[in-house]
Amino acid sequence: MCCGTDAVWLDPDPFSTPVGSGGQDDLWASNECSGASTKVTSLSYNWGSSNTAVATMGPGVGWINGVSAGTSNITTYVTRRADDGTGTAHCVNTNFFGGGSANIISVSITKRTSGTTSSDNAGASTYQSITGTSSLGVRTSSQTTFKACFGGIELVGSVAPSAVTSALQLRRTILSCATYVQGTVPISCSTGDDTSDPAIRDDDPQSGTSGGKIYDLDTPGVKNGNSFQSVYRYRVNFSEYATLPAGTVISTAPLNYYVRLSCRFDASGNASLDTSVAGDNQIGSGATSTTWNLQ
Amino acid sequence: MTNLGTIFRTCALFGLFLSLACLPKAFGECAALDDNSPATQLLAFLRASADLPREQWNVDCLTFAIRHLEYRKPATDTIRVLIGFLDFKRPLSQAERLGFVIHGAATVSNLFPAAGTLFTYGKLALPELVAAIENSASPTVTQNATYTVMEIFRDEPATGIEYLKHQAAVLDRSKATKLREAASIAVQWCGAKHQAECEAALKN
Repeated sequence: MCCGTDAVWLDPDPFSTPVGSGGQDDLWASNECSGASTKVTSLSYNWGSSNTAVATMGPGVGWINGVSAGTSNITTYVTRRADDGTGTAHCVNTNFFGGGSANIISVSITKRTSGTTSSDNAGASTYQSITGTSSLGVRTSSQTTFKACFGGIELVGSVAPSAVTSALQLRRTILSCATYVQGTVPISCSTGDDTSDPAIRDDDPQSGTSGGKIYDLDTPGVKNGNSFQSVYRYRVNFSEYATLPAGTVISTAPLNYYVRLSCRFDASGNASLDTSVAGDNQIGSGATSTTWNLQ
Repeated sequence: MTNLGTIFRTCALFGLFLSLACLPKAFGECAALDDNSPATQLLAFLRASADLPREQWNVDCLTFAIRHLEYRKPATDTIRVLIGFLDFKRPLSQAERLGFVIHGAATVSNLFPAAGTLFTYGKLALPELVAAIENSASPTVTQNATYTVMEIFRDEPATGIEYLKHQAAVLDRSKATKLREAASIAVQWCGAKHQAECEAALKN
């Protein structure tokens, strides 16, 4: 019996990295007798990329550089020698070839604030359950548990190459924000990570009939206010970006946008938009003033 | 006076050392967590936290660790650790308590972060979620485990109902009852589009 390598494979496979960046892919081997798996990258030879316009190799062994969006086949091999005296008794010289794919990914992000949620967005049913509508934009809700003024926003990440199957995430940061009660009284509003929970995202570029789209939905606003006839104001600046699950940024550029709205609740708790400040109750690109009167 | 002062300072320093030495292990581990923390470190923090009384939990760090385990290669013990936090509810900020929807839509998995992270593991998480429904005495765990099962089947929620019913069919009577109840409450997460299919699946 040959107690040596009996199979090799690449990990990760598919390998993913953004355009203009790079990362380490490794070759692993299993031992026929022990069943143990060992990283054998340092023993491997001739790493190659089938499409160097998409991905190139080096300078380190197994290092893959993302050149442009697309997919390239990656190959390498390791040699099991019969004469190396390290438990390979009864083996014959054999080359074991490992192959896999490298996805060099870019994501461009757009936002939708009118119409309804996309039919291939797997998070859309959660959005509808919460808000009672599939419509986007600044609006009110009369759902019993969500009497609210809110800005319904769908962020769309268009993935290149569109055939990518691994999960990708749209994440969000609050750059600045302000919240006011009784019209003008500020209360604390924390900035930083504001990534939606997975139930209202669609991280699968192939879910539904997406063919290379990922989604995020958000509903910033005010719900179930308990200070009747008092105005609640919310001004917030967001930045949306796309990442691999491990956090590597893959979006070509972040999308900065803002939401500003003011909401009034009547004695029955029903919400209506307050229009006393000019230019209020909007979702837009770029940034907004976060003062209560937008001055 | 000098001697008394020295003794006092020594005792104060000793007391400070003792209090630092006695801080829960999870406290120190939390400070080391960041966006690049490996899954093993996040899990170690969760395990250490699970050993503490809940009033000693650092709730912000727990939320951070749980959310950062999304999509991290889910070994069975990762899933088990997260199941143990299915009833952990993240704290609301002051603005959220006043009604501002400021940190994402008000979903179950927004408030209970372990549910969201388990959802990202997909069908690999189903056996442990079903075990949680069968065995947990906590209604919150049962409800959130059921919710997570339905999220995993969100593209075809009627199949989620059928899955819960099928699991009930292969269990002894007491545990089957809990799974049948779970199938009944799960219909609320089918969404308007799939409501009729789910109700039909429940009746069949």
